[in-house]
Amino acid sequence: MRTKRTKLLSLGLLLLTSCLLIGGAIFTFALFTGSAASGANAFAAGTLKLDVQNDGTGANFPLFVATTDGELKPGRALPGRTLKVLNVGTLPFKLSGLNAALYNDPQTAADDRVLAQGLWVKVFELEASNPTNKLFIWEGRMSDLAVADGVSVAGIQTVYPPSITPTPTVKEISLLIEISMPSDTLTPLADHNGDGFRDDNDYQGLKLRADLGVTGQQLIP
Amino acid sequence: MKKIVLSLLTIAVVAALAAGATFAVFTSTATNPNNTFGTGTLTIKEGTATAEANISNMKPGETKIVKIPVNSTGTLPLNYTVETTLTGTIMLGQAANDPRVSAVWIDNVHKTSLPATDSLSAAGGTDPSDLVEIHITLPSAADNAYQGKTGNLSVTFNATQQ
Repeated sequence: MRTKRTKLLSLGLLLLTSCLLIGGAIFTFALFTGSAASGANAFAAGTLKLDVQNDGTGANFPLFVATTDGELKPGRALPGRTLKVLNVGTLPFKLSGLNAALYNDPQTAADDRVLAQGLWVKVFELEASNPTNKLFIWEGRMSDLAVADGVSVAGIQTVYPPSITPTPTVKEISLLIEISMPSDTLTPLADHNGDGFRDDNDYQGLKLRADLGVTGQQLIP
Repeated sequence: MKKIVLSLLTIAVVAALAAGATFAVFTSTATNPNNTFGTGTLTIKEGTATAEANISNMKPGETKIVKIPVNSTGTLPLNYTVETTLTGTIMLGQAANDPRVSAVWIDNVHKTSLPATDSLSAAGGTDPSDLVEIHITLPSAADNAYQGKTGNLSVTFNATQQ
């Protein structure tokens, strides 16, 4: 009995659905309708915007300047520099990516961008409450940063917008960026022309320019 | 019935996700521009060698000196070694009698261990050039078998960064 009733109900539903699907072209329905508007409901998306500053010189001056840093050679490491990352939007974020745009020096005939394959980059977040604590983020060749969209990283500290008061207080973080030209066998200078040999001498006399970028991403709820 | 509807709904949601639903997230990028990096150059060049005498006309017991100036023309200071090789018909394979490099002097300093080593500053530095003197001796025990034979001295300067 129950089965028969269920079957009838199902058939009825199927018929009704079919009628609706087959469409308004055949059947028209007269319906009374009414509507009411609740006015002035406002929606606004937040803004996610970060800014960077040279922690040593202020403003956004380059962290590394060859004319003052001196020449690189295998085995030399430049002093680490810190890049301040500030939240100037309204949404909190974490670091999510690093990238670099590489340029040749017009004064040299060589492809200076090759040098990016011989530069080893280490990036740390400095803990906001204890800046001597280096929180490792990423390491690799600078050329790795120059691929489309750069590299993804998992930022550790949340950077909150300035409008949030009084806590949490981390509204800017400092990234420590260390760059060296390695001479060890673990991170040999790349065989950039693929001939199977190390091309250390091919890195002589190059002058590379790099724009270093950092990306922040909203927190995923 | 309620369970069936719930199951269908769940399947529909999962299917939508599996079919490639994408999530939008806000991101922002800021750039620190115009960082520059430069590498130095390391280059050693030899000048024209001068022989004190005709090295092809040696006699047993005689020593000839070849003088070769070397210059650093790069931007990095360097260490270098002087590697010598003697070849030719005068090399008869007699260890005691064949001509040999008996001494190397660099800027009037006798280098007692061979291959000789020294260093140069970068071009424009305090010591960008040296005079390398290579002494070649035909031992006095060399006999008539060495008469009329000729030899070649090949000198290689290998420079490495400091």
